[in-house]
Amino acid sequence: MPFLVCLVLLGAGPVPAQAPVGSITELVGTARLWRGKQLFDVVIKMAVIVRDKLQTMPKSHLTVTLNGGSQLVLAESSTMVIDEDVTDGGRADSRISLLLGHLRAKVYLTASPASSFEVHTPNAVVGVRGTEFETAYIEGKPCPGFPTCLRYTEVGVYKGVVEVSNPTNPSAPPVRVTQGYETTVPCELAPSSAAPLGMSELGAPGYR
Amino acid sequence: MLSSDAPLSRHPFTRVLAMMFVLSFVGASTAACAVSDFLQLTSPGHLSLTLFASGYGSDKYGTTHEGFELEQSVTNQVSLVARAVAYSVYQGTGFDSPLLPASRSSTRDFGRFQGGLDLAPLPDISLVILGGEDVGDSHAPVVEGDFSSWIVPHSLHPLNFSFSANHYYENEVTSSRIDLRAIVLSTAEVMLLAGAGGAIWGGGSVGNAKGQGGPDLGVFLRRWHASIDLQAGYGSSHTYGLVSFSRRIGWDE
Repeated sequence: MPFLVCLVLLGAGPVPAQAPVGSITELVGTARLWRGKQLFDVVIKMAVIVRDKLQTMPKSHLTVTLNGGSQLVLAESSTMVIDEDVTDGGRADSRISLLLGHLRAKVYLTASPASSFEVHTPNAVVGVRGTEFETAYIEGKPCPGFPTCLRYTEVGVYKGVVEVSNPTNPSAPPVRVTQGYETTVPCELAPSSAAPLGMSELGAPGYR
Repeated sequence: MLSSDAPLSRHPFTRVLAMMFVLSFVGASTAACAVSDFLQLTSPGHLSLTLFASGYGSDKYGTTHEGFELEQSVTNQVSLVARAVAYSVYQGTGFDSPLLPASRSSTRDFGRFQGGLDLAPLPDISLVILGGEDVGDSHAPVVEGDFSSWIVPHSLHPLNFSFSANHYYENEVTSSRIDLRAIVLSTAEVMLLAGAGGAIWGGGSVGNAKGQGGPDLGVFLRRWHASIDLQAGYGSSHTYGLVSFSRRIGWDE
C-alpha cells in the first residue's frame, strides 16, 4: 500500500499545503511549476494552488481546469500566475497574470453576476463575463501599427464580450471587444479599436 | 501564351513594378526598426503551404488553374516563395463548360513554375515578386508582382487594396488586376469580405488595352484557414465570372 500511495503522489505532483484551485488536465510537451522557491515538472492531474507560476517550454502547451469549470490553455513558451481564485457563496472571483506569451481562457461562470474573471498582463486588464478569449503578451517585437512600441498585449474574443483597459494609463478609456474581434494594447497607450480577429491568418486576400 | 487576364507591354510592367516598390517602402521608411528587421533572421522560422484552384468563364473563353505555393521565412520581412501551377485555357466561342469543352473550342494546357521573394516592409503590406517559366502549350518566361496593403487595420471594417501585374513573354501581353475589399463581418468562425475589382490587359498579341470589372465577395473560414473568392462582372470579354479557392497550412520550425 505505501508503494501505491507513493505512485499516486508522484503521478499527481507535489501535495499542496493549501486547497487546490484547479488541476492540470492537459499537457503536451514539457512545462514547469514554481511553488514558492520549489520547482516541479508539470504532470497530468497535478493540483494547482493560488500563486503557482506555470511555464511552458517551446512546442508545449497545457490546460488548467479551475474548480469552477473555467479552463486556462497556456500556449508554448508562455508564463502565467494564478493570483486569485476564490469562491464565496454564489460569487467567484478569478485573477490570472500572464507574464509572457499566449493564454486562452474559456470562462465558465455559473455564479452570481457579481462574479469576476480577469486576466492581467503588465499593460492590460481583461475583464469578462462568461466568454472565451485569448490573451497574448509579447515583448521585444514591434507592435503592429505602433512600431516604436516593443511590448504589447493582444486580446482576441471567440465568444461573448470582454472589456480591455490599460492599468498603466488610467485615463485611457476601456474598449469592449465582441466575438470575432480583437484589440491591441501597445505600451502605455489606450487599447486600439476592435478589429477583425486574426487578420494575419487571412493574409493578402485575392485571386490566385 | 493565352491568358484569362492579359494587358500593356514590357516597359509598362517595369514601371508598374517600380510603383509597387515605392508603395511598399514609403511607409516602411518612417519606421527605423523596419530596416533592421530586413536582416534579422526569423526565429522560429515558418513554412507555409498554400493550395489553390481557380476557374474563370466568359462569353469568349474560359480558364481553370490549380497549384500550390510554398513560402519559407528567411528574415522578419523577407520570405522565399516557390509556386507551381497547371493551367488550362479554353479558347473559342460556343464551349459549354471549361471541363467539357465543345468540339469547336480548343484547349491549351501548360504548367507554370515560379520563384521569388515576399517582402513585408510593414506588418500590413506585402509585395511578392516572382519570375519563372511556362512549359507546355506556353513555353516562355513570365514575371509577376503582387502588392497587398491593409488600410485602417485597427477598425471594425479594415480595407484591403491589392494590385497584381504579370507579363507573359510568350505573347508579350501584360495584365494587371486591382481589387479593393473590406471586411464587412467577422465572427469566431468566418470573415466576410466585399468590394469591387477588375482587370486590364493589353499589348503584344492582344493589342489595345482591354478591361473588365465587377463586385467581389469573399469568405474566410478560420477553422480551415481557407478562402473562397467570387467575382462577376462585365468587360471586353462580355459577361464573366471568377471563382477562387485557397487553403493555407503553416508550420513553425
